Amino acid sequence: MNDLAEGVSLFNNSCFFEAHSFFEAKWLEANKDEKLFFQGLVQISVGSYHLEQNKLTGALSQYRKGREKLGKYTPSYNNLNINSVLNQVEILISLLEKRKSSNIFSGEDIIFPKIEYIGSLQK
Amino acid sequence: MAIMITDECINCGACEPECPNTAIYEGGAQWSLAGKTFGADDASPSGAAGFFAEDFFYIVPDKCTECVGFHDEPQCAAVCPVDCCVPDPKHVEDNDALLAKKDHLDGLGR
Repeated sequence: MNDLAEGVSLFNNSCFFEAHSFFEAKWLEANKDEKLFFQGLVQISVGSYHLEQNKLTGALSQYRKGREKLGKYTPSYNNLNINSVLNQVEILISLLEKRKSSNIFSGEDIIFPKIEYIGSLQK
Repeated sequence: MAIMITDECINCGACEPECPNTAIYEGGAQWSLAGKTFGADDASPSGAAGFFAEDFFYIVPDKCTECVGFHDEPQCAAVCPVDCCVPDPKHVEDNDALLAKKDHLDGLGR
């Protein structure tokens, strides 16, 4: 089983706080080459958590930070489709930037990102 | 300058045990200095105010030396997974001031 499967499952099931904890543990033990990858996943998770809590400023900041870090691991890394995650996050960043001043959040058009695998190892 | 924790904090608690000055407190918790306890509405001995947070961890400016004298970089920022420990623009201090603060805290016994 992919080592990241639990974290990916938590994330894709919108358990963003738990997902952040999972990826944070990975970040703490990661080697230098992978530190930013796991931190990026932490920040995407935390961004999503803040967005769920209607903390739009925090969500935007975390998504931006996560985008910057994961951007170093495109198009894929550790069997994860990084391009796909970044595309989804980019949409949310654009949406949040437009709503920044009004702080009005309607959950109807918010689609939280999903992490996809490359290939058929996991679904 | 002192370090502050922004509201992006997710309350993981990684920072608190790393602080050599015990300057970091859980949201809503009272903080202490030189045997005295302070709460949400209390200004610090230096007059600093507005740093207390109810919902996430916060740093007491009077107690933060940015780890000068202990480490090469602020440890809270180093261990924060969401990069929410950032320089506090309201409390700008140069290295000499931070070292003097450390000496002062040493004298107080923290």
